[in-house]
Amino acid sequence: MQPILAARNISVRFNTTKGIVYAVNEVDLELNKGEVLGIVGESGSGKTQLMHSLIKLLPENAVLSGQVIYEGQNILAASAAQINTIRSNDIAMIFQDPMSCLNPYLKISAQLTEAMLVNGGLSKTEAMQQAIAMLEKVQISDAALRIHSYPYQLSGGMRQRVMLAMALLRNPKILIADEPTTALDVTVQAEILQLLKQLTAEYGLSVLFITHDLSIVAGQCDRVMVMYAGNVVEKASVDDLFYQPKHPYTQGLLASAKSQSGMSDKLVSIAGQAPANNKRQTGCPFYARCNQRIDLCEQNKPVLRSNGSQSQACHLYG
Amino acid sequence: MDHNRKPVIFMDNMLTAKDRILIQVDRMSVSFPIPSTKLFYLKKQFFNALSDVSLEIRQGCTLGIVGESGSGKTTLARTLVGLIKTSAGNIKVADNIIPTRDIQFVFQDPLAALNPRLTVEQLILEPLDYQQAKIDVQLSQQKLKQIMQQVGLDYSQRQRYAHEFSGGQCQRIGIARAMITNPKILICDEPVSALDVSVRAQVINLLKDLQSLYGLTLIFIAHDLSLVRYISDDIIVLYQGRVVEQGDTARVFSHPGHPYTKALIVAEPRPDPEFERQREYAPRQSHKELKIPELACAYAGRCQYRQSRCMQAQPERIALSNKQNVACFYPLK
Repeated sequence: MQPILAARNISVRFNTTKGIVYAVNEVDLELNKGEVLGIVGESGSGKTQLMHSLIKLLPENAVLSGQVIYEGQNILAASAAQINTIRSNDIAMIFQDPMSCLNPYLKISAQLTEAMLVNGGLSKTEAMQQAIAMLEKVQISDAALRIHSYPYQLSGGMRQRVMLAMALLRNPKILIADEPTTALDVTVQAEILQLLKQLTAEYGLSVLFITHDLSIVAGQCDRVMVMYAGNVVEKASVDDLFYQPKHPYTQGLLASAKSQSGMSDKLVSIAGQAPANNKRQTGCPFYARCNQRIDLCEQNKPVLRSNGSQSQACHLYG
Repeated sequence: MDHNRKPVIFMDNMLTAKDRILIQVDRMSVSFPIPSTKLFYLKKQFFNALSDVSLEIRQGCTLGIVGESGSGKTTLARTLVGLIKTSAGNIKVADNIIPTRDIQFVFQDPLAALNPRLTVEQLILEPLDYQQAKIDVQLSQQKLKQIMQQVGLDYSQRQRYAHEFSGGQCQRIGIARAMITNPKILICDEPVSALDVSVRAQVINLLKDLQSLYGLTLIFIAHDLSLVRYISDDIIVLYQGRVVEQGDTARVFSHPGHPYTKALIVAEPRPDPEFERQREYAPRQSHKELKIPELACAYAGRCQYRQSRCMQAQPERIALSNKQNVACFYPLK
């Protein structure tokens, strides 16, 4: 099957006053139609930069190389106007902190209807009706009244629902969700995750779900990519990843997550810390923290190798 | 003051040490005036941040305070050190505790809590300047070396600035800064929430090590239950400024008595796809249409076990066992 969105050999570097920062290194990604692909990584792993590069949202000092193929077209080579159309019609995003993405000066009615008025050719009344219907869809009660609220009048969970409504209103094909529940309380998080799952199935969306939390991946995703220091270290179906993790980093991360969920007696962590990303990596990026390292790992950077449906970048697997 | 305090060892009263109460809070309430929006509206209105909170902090133990954002957990911690005045009830502090000296804070966002213009050395030693006794350079360097070693920092990096360190290391600086004055009680306000999953346990284990080394009493604040179970002896669950459940951590986890505590435990996602596929979602309680009277149980709007009595009065605290209290008319079995 042809993936709906494919990225080839994506690298992102930043030119800073202190030198080059290597944020994403030669990453491939395929998102199949109707699937939820999780991208898991800790801070600095490059997951957000990767996502931003997919729809060319990077800042000016970024150097981006590679290809992003959507509907047979390389998005990265497209003109600004073409990209804007794709962002408006096909690929929607929701972010971690809805408060900083909503305009505090505008009522949510204006923000919800803006895209429909500019790109959808709808009248104001039609757009309002659709917006209210969509707010009901994301389970905001009294939608007809609440649409006249300002963002500050809504709770964090409500704001995330509004963001989701805004994303779905243009009937996109792909939804990119960047840590959509990280800022929320755990009971609200459960509600939003359930809603997301339900709506993505209903709309037949293909989803890129970016998170640092493996526990959320377990319940939301079909396939998972684990990133470490700008590299994809493991790619697998959700069951393979959780029940037979291959890469030592995945194993360590999973053990930490399990212990934090009370699934083991001892609290587990991975010793050390992620490497600085201001040098070009020559050996395995996880070398310094790995408990299964061999001599080869220090000087020789492993590439992603697949054995069936699961692939990992690790010398332990040949 | 003895600046070279040896680790506290409770030789003669080893057995009774854990029963010694350092802070006792009795039916304490905290309310903040709400700024009036009307010019001639004379009756002042108040927001009750904490209502009727009672708790005990025992020496050498860890008390976990859990609650969602806005539940009053940070207000509670700040009230304990006297940064916020109580409006009712009282706080009794043991004779040997001087809050400003013996209670220290570790904050959630380590980078925001550390002055970017100070070196690690200045950051860690700064609290000593506010203590009564001045100490000489040699002694302070000795202390600095010792504390940096204990929290897992490299003494040779003492001239660096906070931004040169990772989040986990910054939190270690924050802990060293709190520990330099030899506090008896350490209040940790979400100390690992901002950190990566793979390094959280490092910081939790460090706090535990310091606790056993110095006989520290810890107050550990968190917005979810995940890490609290490893570090706390006792746990308090706050909901809208009220203590809804209180007791022995293991007991509260295995047999939550309050519907809210249970909801917190159930809502936590688990890194287990099979478990998540079996997950049943509780029906969403929409309390917006429902008119909740002011004197009703604070949790009534969201409670799936709500009955008519819950709408009429605020439940008093009842003991489920000698290890567990719950403020609910119909505690879960």
